[in-house]
Amino acid sequence: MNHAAMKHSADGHMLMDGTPVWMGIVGLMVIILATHWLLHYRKTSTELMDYRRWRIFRFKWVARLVNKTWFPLLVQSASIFFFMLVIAAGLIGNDKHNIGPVITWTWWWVLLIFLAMGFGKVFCMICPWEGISSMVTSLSFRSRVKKLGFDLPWPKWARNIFPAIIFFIILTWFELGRDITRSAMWTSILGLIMVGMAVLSAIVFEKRSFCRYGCLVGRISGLYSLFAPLELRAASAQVCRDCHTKECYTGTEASTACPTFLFPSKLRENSYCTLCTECVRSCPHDNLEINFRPIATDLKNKTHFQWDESVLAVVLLSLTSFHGLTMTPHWTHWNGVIRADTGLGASTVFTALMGLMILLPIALFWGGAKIARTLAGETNVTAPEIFKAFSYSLIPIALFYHLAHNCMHFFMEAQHIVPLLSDPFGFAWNLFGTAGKHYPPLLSLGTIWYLQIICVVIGHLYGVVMANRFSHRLFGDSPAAFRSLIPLIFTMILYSSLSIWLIMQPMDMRSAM
Amino acid sequence: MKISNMKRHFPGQFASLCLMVLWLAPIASQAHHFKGLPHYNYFENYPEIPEEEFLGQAGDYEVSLVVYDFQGIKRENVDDPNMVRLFLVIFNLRNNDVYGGPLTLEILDGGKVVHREKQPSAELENLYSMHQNLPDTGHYSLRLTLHDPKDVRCEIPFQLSSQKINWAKWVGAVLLILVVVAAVGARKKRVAMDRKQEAGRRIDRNDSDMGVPKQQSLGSTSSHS
Repeated sequence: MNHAAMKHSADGHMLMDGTPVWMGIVGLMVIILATHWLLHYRKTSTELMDYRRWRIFRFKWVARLVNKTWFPLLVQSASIFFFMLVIAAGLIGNDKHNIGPVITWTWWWVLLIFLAMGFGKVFCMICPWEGISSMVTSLSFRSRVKKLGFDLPWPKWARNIFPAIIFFIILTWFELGRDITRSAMWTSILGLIMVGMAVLSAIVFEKRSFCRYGCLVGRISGLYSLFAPLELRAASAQVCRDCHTKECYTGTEASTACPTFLFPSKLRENSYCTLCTECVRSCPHDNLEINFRPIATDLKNKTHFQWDESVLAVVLLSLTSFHGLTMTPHWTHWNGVIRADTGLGASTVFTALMGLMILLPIALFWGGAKIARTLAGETNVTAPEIFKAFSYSLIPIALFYHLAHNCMHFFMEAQHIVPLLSDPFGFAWNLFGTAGKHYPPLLSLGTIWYLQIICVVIGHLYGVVMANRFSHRLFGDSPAAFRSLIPLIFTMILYSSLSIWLIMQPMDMRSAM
Repeated sequence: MKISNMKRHFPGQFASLCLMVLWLAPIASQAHHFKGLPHYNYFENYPEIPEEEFLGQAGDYEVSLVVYDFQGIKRENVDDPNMVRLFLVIFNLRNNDVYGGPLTLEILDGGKVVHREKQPSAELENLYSMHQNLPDTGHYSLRLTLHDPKDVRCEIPFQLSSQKINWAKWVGAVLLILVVVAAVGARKKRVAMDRKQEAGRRIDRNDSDMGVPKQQSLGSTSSHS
């Protein structure tokens, strides 16, 4: 362990040095220069991309495996086991010395973003909450066909992802404001609440309404999956056109209809597909397949922009940055000064600052959209349409900053799970002989610094490419397209600078264990 | 490329770069050691000594109280299982400094003072510590008075590890009851709907056997919306 790179804070947390200044400056220079090149010299296409696919089902054994009714149970069994371990650890184990928080916050919450980037909605495929709720409602380990349920329609006013956005904000408040990441009890309470919501929703509402509208994990990974290189799509449009029974949508006796209300044969983007593969098993023509494809395909082909998704994109960006900010000494100092000046308690100040951190970027971005509308001149495109479209270009920036931030946590802290495997509940066990042993981080701090800077730069550049595409999609090839980009690009550079500044700060490491 | 050329060809970007350098440069020298620390919480010291932290605020000071009472160890093996150690770090919220001056500490049980200590200064690493036998039947709080320069007082309620309630068990129990009640109700409703559908199908079959023209059967609804 590089002790020289570590300091300590008052409450026992390790502070890890941030990236060196020279690295931050180089990163910024690359961002600014490459932005200029992308905007002025790279040809922008707004054509919808037809793209190459690499079929996973070319391996027949994979196709046969996915078509088994027990396939979901197979892929979910490990996650259900670890989920139950987290719950048990919180129920009966020592609150501080416990495997639950490390599995949840250092492994799962961190790796979720890597999974979303690389494999889209694959966490939904292995989701323990979906697995448990399916078993409860189907009264079966293998089948997903509901045998109990009121099948009420999800309320019309909530048929958007604002419920998930609210849950995400609430979770972030608990995670950062109440410091539940260090408590096994609170971690398991959160897990119980999530599975409770999933099961009760499955019993009360039709299909998997919670997965579609309420699950914050599914909505976040859904937005990030627009960037991912994995998809589930119909192999042949003609086969779908000739099919009159549409079992992918209606279901069969052995498999359900699409649980998130999608029409699989017409699926064009990943956001709401949970990769449950029910449609693969339902389709009598074996026409639905899982493929690898070029990255950012869904994002490049995005033509329809929604308010709820665009708000989530901005909120995601602001909260991931907020997450990083709260782990810096600056945050502690600002918090302290405000508390000393106002006499307000820690929770009140935290809540106020968090609210500001959510609203300020939305306001900034909205202001940028208004300025873009003004700069565009004579056009039918409105400021709300600009806001909605350009919000999606923030997705790569949010995703890659998220990855950069999580790199630090995972590669510096993940090894702490090894001693805990031998003593998961803090009972002074030594099941595998690793209790009391210490292991170095998975990567050196220097390597992590490079990864972080590269992530931020890549995220920014993809954001610029998307913004350029969307502006041409809104305004065509007119000069208005470039003019409308100016405030957005300025905002993006500002935000990427903030991301770089954040990763340059010493960070409070999550696990004191 | 010369700086003058850069300024000519990329004026906007050059200005941005200069601003960024000016913004970032002071950060490198920012101090980040901002609070005192009890060292026992480093992860190198495995098995870590689990402890509970309680926070309080007194004027410009944040008080971090850490309680250690043999968490993670079987108390039957300990000579003095009711011995509780309290550690305090007092941090100035305004100037990032740690208080190390005179302090009066009082442990209260149900509002009554059970132990009082006056410490003229902090010990090692800006830490104040005390230990006291505290059985787990008490309602404890720590009242401290900072004497520098004028008296600033604060009271921090704290719990021993054996007094803590595991709320996860209660949450789990409530959710389980809710799920069972909802599931039983939903199953009854589904069975009733399926019986109704089956009855409707039987009527249709009987009608067709008897050569009655098929009519819309009343009350037959799909159980999958």
